[in-house]
Amino acid sequence: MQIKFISPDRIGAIISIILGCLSIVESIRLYPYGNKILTGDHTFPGLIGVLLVIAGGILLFERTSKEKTKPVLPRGRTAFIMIVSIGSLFIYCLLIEYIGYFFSTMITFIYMIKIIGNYRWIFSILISVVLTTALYLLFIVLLKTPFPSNNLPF
Amino acid sequence: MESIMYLLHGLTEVLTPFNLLIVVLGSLLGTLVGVLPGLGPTSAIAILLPMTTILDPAQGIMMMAGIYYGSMYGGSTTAILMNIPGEASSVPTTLDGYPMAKLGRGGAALGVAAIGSFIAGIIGLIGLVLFAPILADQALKFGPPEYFTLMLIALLILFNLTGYSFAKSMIMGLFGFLISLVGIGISSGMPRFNFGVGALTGGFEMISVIIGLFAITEVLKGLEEKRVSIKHEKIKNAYPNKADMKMSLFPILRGSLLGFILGILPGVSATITSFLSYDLEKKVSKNPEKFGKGAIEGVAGPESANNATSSGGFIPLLALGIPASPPLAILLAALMIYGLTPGPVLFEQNSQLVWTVIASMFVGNIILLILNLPLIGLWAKLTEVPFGILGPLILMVSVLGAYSVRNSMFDVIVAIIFGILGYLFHKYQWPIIPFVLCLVLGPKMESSFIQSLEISSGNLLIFFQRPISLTLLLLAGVLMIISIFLMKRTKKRIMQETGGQMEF
Amino acid sequence: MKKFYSAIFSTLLLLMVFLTGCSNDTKTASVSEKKADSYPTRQIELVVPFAAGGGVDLAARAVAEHLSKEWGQPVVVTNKPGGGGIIGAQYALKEAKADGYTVLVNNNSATTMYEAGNSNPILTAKDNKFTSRVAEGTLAYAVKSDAQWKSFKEFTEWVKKNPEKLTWASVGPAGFSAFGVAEWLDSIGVDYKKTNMVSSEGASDSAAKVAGGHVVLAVHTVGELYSLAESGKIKLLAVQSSERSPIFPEVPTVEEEGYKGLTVKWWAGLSFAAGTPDDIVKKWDSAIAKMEKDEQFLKEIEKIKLEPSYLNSKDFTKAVKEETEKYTQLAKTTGIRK
Repeated sequence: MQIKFISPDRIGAIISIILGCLSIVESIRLYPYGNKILTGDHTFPGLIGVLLVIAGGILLFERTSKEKTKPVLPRGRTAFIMIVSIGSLFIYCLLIEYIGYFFSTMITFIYMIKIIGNYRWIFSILISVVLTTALYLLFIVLLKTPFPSNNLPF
Repeated sequence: MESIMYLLHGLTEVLTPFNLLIVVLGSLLGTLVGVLPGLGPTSAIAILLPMTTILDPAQGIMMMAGIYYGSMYGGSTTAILMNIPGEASSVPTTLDGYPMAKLGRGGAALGVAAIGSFIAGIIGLIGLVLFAPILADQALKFGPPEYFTLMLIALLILFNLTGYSFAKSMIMGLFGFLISLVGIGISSGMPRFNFGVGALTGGFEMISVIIGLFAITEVLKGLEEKRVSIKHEKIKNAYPNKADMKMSLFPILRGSLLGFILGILPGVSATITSFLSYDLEKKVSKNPEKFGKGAIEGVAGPESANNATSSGGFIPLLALGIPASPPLAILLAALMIYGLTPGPVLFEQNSQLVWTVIASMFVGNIILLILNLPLIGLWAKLTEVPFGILGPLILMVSVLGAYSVRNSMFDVIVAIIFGILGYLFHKYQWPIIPFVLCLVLGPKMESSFIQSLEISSGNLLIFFQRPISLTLLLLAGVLMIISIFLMKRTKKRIMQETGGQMEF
Repeated sequence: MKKFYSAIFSTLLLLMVFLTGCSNDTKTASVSEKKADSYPTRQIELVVPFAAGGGVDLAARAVAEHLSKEWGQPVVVTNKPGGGGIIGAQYALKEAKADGYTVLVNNNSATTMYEAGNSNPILTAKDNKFTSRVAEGTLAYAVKSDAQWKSFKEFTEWVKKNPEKLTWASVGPAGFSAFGVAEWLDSIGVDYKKTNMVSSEGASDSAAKVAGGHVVLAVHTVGELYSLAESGKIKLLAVQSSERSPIFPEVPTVEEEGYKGLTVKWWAGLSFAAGTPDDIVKKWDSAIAKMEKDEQFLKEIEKIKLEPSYLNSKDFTKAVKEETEKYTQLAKTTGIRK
């Protein structure tokens, strides 16, 4: 009974209710700044909050009608690759702040190409340099996007 | 008519070598910018503003206009081939374009998108030429109440798109609204939902969310499926065949009209019109259940709508000086830098310039069609690039693209997080289209609602008291009834045909 | 064989890095203790906390254009819109390094008016080192072109008698329009709270609302109202400056109509993060002073319908302080301040 109750849909429903309450709280906080009951920044948060709670409630008690194939999360190497890819994106964000665009992009590319594509190191590095340069030309030279790069010139 | 004379003369001006080059450059740049997720015509045109010192007015405007409508062409390519919309306005294109690509019919989808975009562009331009001043005046009559009811109609799409769980769609839609609320409130100027975090005060940038949900999620999906390359089969015909074109003709015309008329209204973006077009096609179709699986009408309609919107957007810009969308605002700035004021004055004093620019838009559309059609084969080859390289490339471009919108690292983090969320949504079958739709509609809907009530001092009846608004409300009611009826009928049909349930 | 390949590859790698380094304009940042004589040695970021295409943005681009030429280093405009100017301001003043390579272009909405209208401002004038004021814009009152009032005086009289019927568009509750209207209402003795403020998303949105008859009044700079006024959809009842505007010579000033003491004006200026070395600030100030006399720059400013209005650092800082105090007072009495 316990396990059956906590299905992903139910979790979603509970999150929905929590978000709804959050929204209502925010709406109450904003109420004094508004002009009248319906005009003001509290209107939509309040409205949406209420609806979220209701919708979450409906979902919570909705009978799972048919035998749906249970979604299975990937495991093993696949999961590893996925997590690492996303992780390296986050690390990339950090890297860019410290060592600038060029090297952080290159390093991240090399790593991702190696991991995802399973190529040899040399190949990864080569492709990475080409792509990094291409993106550099596009984003920095052509579009002059300012990247946080405090230490190195590029 | 005098205008036609000016137009023809403008045409001869455009067809000089240097000017042609400008138009080509603009269109190409626009296409490139449209293809890359995150980059949009807004940033591209803004970058080019300094060029106004080098180019003379006609040329500068021609190039910027080229970028604008070019980006509408580009967004569809990656949307169809990789399920990654290059522009928010290409999101509906992914719904049927990508399934088509998976069936090996990517070329046909691309072809229809290009042809539809072209026809829509031309129709929009003709409308611009003939009706600019009149329509501009009408556009002014649309006030906040009218916008609100219009958005309500757009929301009705949700009824038609629902899969098997209405509650889930509603929750996703509300979630989309919620995300759009984060930021500074329009009425009080107070930050909302920021919980003391400075970065949240700026709110979520819609594009970074879309990049996350589509691009990054798509890569994650690919990683899970251990894709070798995106496409499954060889592309048989790179071009649409006669049957395709026949089926697409009416969607293209409908989409063009819809996009053009709504594009005249400031604030109605190409994203909204393309969604509306998709919904319209689904409603009038005899086989709505094939939408979402590769119905070519689902590509033809939205792609035409978004191009027509860009043409329509020029009307309030040139006739009144009101930019209908951010890229047009920058175009307006360019006009001002050149010392040109939009409005009847512009048509009177600088008519030659205006008509030259309009002529260049005709030429630009033709050039884009010529460029895009043969390139379809080339683009389609992209799907054969090994995923090991394409995947990382998409991820990196997403990061850079998300950053470039507001020069904000926060947007990048948001994109990545939504990438993860998008993957989870896909896994657990939570529909993302309601989410995206409400995210897009949210800000405008809220501001229209609040503004309407401010005008009426809190009186809800304002929506019923104004003629246009009332008409729209009645239309909304009628459409809703039709939708529910259609939905029931479609569900029954699907049960009969496949024994399974409809997803979108 | 392998050695050969790795040799080729490493040369290629080095070549790529070398080429990229060369094609890049930026040079290695000098050690920061160098005097301002060598400044700037690399690209300068001019932060505009509003969307591209607006008044502040265009003024900033004119400045960037001029200074890039003057100093031979690229001065690049970056837009960081949001929060009524606060997002960009926060970035330029608090998040970026105070080394003089990040400059904020600002206007009163996000500085004096923001501080006046909020009892808990995130940023205050103290976070700024005000460098120079660059341009000003004149306020104008706009109503629909076929509205019943033929003069500003007539309009004001009507407002006095029917405050609840006045709907006016405002970008933000403590923005430029709000303060302009508040000052005017205050001076004619009308209760600000009785009138209806309608939130708007920007100057062109406000103007469009007036032209469409949805809102009665819009108060913005002459430049922002220009296109709709020229096309005859809205009419300007008065301009708020000491002399008639050269762009609209037939429109009387508020003083001519009999209303004195209305002083709200739009301005744009430059500031650095507090803690930026003083000599860099001084270098900018003198460069701006020179720029304000440059013909090319003046022409650019005129094209975007603004007026050049230079104030040096000291005067600018003082003006900001005075304005903040005045607006805070106004905000308190009219109820803008929350």
